[in-house]
Amino acid sequence: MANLNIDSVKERTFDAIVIGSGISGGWAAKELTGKGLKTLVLERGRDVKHNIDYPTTNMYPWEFKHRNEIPLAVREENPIVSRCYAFHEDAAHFFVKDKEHPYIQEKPFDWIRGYQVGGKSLLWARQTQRWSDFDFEGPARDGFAVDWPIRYADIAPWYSYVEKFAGISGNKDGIAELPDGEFLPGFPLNTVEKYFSDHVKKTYNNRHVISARCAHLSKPEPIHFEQGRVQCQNRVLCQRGCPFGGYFSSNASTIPWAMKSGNMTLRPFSVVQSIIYDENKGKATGVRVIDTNTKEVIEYYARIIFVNAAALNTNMILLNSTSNRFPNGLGNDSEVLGKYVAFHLYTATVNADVEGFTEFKTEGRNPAGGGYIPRFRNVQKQETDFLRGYAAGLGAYRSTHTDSSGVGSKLKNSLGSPELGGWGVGSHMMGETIPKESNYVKLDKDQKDEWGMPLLRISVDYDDNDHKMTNDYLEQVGEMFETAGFKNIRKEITKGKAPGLDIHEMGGARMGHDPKTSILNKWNQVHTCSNVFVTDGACMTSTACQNPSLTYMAFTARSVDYAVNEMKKGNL
Amino acid sequence: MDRRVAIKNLALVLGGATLFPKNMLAGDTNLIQLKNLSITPAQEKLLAEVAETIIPKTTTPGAKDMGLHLFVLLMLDDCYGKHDQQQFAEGLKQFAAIAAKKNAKPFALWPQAQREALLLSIEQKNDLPAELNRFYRITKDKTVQGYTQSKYFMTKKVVYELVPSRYNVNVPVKTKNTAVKHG
Repeated sequence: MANLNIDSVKERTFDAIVIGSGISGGWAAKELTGKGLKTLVLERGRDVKHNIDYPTTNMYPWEFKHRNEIPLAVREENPIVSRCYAFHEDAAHFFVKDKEHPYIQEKPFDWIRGYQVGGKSLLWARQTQRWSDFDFEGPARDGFAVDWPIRYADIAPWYSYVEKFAGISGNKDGIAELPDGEFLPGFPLNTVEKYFSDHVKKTYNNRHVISARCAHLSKPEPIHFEQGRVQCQNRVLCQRGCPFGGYFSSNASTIPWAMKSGNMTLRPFSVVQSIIYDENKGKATGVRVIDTNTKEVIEYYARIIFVNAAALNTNMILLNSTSNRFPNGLGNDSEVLGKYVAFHLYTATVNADVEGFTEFKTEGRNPAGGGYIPRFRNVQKQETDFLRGYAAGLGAYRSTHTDSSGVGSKLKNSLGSPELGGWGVGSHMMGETIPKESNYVKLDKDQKDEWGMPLLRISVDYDDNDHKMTNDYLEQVGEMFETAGFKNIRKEITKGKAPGLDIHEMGGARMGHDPKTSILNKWNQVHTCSNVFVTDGACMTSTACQNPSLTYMAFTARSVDYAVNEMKKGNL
Repeated sequence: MDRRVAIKNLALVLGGATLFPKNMLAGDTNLIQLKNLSITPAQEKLLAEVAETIIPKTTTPGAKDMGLHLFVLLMLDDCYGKHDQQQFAEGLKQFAAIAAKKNAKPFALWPQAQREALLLSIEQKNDLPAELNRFYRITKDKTVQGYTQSKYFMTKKVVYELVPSRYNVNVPVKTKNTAVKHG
């Protein structure tokens, strides 16, 4: 792009622009191109091609120089990302290193990012649950944030739509607060998980332990083969990128699909500086991009723009998109942009030993990770001294014992003869947090990054509701374990864990009925800039306690459908 | 030997049950160049003998065949903190002194039983200097890790499955030993 002047505007003009290629950007790309729109997909990081750019995917443990451990110097240089559970030698290349992209923590916040084509969809934990009206009605019922402008009925068909394509494994459990979806066969609960599930069903009338629903192809359908994906092979090495396309990622699914349409132009190394707003037209005309290699500023134009940069980056782009009309950021008449950021509480675990069941074991690995306990607190009505509730992951495993005492041939023999030990069981909390004005992100006035983008200031913290909820989780799951007869129950609050490590940061550009108190309408459309849509985590009015990605996918497909219809009607 | 070659060789031996060339063990240079601690060629050789005592060559490869002492040093150099590295270096000196006091012959020439007895006496005692304990702990842990996460062990002893292609539950237990493939 050395000679921009002779680049015609035409060459830089598309029907649609998608900012970001992660889990929601990939969906925007697929849907827009599928509807025939010439679409430019901008990605700030490098390209990661399915199978080609998964350097560690087929490596054996002994092939990792440090046996998958991150060297101390790297950990010391990158304390934030080093706290992420998935940051190991096998996937370190898919994580942003602290120094590469600094930000300012007004309060401790571990911001985990994946800057490459596919974004964090390569790295996600692949848990996929639908929301229900118990979630969408939450803010209105409990008097926080603003009312969601949609209900379950609005999004349900779009959940179905994305589930069929992505491939979601699960069982029809018939639980109102966790609606069933379009499922491929669920992965089974093991002996102890099944025992616990039965125990909970018998003991509590509103609690369930189900097989975790996840974006894995347990039994692929023709639509998955058409994507070039095959059955999940239970490697559970997903964070390396999967050569089978066994789990859903943009890289394995939506991006190649969009590419195949012939309508997508993918531009990696393109950081979006701002969205260009035309005062006369009263809408956005394109985006200003900085080439991360050459640092050149290039403008691209389109009729509609989808912002899918990941929750906090989307906030950053909107805040940085200033004009006479929008001096505080695009669509920010309400001044709520960047505020009401929330996240999920992954702040506690309960572990225990299990007596018995030693006649059984498992074989292979479970991509679903085990069981899932849907929210049971404050579902039908408020019943505790904190708002909302939590879900919990649940997994049981048969331990293996190896005698590693002594030296010499005795040791060598015992290392080669590991023996089955007893069963253990573990649970982790996933709690809803209440979006608050005081939890916000904003742009720093002075400090800029290498590409001239203002540094993001993050100010997000726990509150009293979070602490009460965490204690309740420990009490309730502890009690469920106790009544199940589990032994040596260990209830732990994860010490010193900052918000952010849940990697479920949400909000800042929330949806709502009223332009005075929200940024987006019920179609994820900026209230006051009708051709800009935000369908990633930034749009979230509240967080519920489900893993959020599936909802972003559904929002995106729904929003693209609306946008393209509006274009056809001549409204956009 | 420059670091790249050393690492390449290391990768070679750690990667497989490739026999470690004997002449490489006899040299007067270090086989691994460390960034954060200084180990003499003699100390490196002594460490090789300690590792060999922990995982001796039997009918199957031992620590020297697999270059496990180099794995110990690599991990110590890259993944441990300054304090551990200092304790290790000091503990290694203490170990050499104790061995020399016990028997004038070089440790390498002691019978395996005598070498094992010395290591066991360290493993089982609580009242030894902290450095010696730490040296022993790191050496043992990393030797064991290098062994159990070697290609040899993971393909011949306790088989690692890269592609399990199954998740079965309620599988009846026939034997408690889990080393059997698909068992």
